[in-house]
Amino acid sequence: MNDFLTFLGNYERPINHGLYYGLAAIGLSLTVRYLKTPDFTTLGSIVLGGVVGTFIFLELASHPIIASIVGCVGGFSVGVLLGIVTHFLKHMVRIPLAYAGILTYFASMSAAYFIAPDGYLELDRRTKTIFTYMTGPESMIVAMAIIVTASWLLHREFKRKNGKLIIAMTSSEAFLKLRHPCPAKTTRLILTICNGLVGLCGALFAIRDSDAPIKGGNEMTFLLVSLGSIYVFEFISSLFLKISDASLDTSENPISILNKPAVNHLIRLVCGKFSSKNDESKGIFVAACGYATCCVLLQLLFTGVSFIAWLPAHFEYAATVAVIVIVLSCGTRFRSKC
Amino acid sequence: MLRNHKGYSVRLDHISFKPPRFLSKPVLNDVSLTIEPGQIVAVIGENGSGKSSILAAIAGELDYWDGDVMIENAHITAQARKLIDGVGIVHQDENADLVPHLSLAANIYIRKLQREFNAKVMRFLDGNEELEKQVRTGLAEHAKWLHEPMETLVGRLSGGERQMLNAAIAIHFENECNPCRLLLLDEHTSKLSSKNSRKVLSYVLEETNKVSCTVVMVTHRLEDVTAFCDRAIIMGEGKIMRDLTRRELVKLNTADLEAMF
Repeated sequence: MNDFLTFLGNYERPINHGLYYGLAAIGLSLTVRYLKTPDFTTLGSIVLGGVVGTFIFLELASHPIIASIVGCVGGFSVGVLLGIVTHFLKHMVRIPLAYAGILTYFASMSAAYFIAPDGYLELDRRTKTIFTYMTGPESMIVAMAIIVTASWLLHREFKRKNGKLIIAMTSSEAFLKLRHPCPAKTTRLILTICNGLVGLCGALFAIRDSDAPIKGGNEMTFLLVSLGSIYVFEFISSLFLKISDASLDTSENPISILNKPAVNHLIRLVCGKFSSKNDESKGIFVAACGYATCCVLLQLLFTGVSFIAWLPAHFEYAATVAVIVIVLSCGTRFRSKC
Repeated sequence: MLRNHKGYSVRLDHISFKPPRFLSKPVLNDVSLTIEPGQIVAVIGENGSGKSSILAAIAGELDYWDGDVMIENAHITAQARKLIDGVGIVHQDENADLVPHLSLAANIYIRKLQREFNAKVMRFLDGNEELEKQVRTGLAEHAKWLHEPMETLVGRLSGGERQMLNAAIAIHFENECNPCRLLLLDEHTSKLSSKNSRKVLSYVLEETNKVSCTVVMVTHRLEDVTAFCDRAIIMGEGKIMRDLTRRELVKLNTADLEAMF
């Protein structure tokens, strides 16, 4: 137990970052799953969410708890606003989603520089925030509580009308044209939830670290970790689906323990929970928690490997972009094969 | 063969349609047609002859077209189909009608949402157990072929089961009036074997016969045309080439019919 606490203590920062990225990954996964492409607006949402969250916090700094909460609400609202802008570009100006996202990303960077011309917004180290009162595992528990709440809210919404309409976005172009009651409204809903969560993640990050940098490529790290976790969890999910589909109930199974009804039932139960075997509305909670867990693991991995530390200066951006492109292309191929 | 007149009548007046693409040819060229209530009409012809476009015109799914379409004396515009209760359509590609990532129940729910006909339906599956029970019983009664629970993912059904489900939804669950009064079938059995195709068609005709629903079907299976249809319209180059009555159809075999286009 002590070893575990020591581990948590040593890796508190990457675990916390992983958890916040997990929150953003839940949002990003909605666009990956239901709009078939990651929304690049999120790159701007995480930066602008952080800057606006910090800006609001500085304005209300005399009340740390209220300032932290209002800062987070501000970050979420900025994300929602950016999602609406991307939706406007996509549906009114008819720009493809990927390009609309990139345009909004550039616009949000300009807005961030407008608020913080120096390229960063920093809190005084002595300033108290909501995180000052929580150290070690407590802050992780709060982050986990936020993730579980977000996952539960999504799970609840997915059982209802809007959730069904969001899942229906995975259908063919013909379905969207002929049968979907409101594809434009549903796209807007997905983009606003996605960017709202990412903006909230940006604000939480900035307030926790007392720093909202615009430069430095944090948004690229976010995209890399979040996308990576989405594809890793989908890979695990598809493996579970394959195991679940395998003929576990036949007596011809070479592994004798699998033929025992209780073991068989247990495997099917576990695999069913972690795979998309049933209606997607029932699996969104597990999926959301899975993305968050994968985010923490990937963040820990990147911290251990620190893969860009040995690269020559100024190559970090190029290296991160190259890794994102590789993750994106491998993930897209994997999804199309599935 | 004409049954009790409970189905909808359909009238097409000088329908022309040219896809909005550069240098595209007209797909429908001044087509006029009247379908009596309760008739089972087959639309046949070569690929690209305008069969599916006729169906799309009746369903209000064409974007740019000239002429007038009337269902039960109501004028149809591109957006009007959602307002007409009692019209069901089954597309050639079942993925145009069903969401593979949703369960059977949720697929019915989405189709009902598309119609947007009343607040009761909007609450469907949102904790309204009575309504959910009604739909479950309804589907079990109308679709005896379906042995899967309502929670089954549509993506896990076979092609034949999906086509049957699609037809069952169009006939019984898409509209407030049940069964529907006008059923449009666009090569809905094209991916099925002859045996399964006959099974699906028998199910569809058995259900639509209960209210003498008008059926317009586009098909390449000529044996179904001679066996089941009251009338066959042969299309060619966007025009109606022949209009065969039941009396003429019974005298023909599939080879004779095929020779006509």
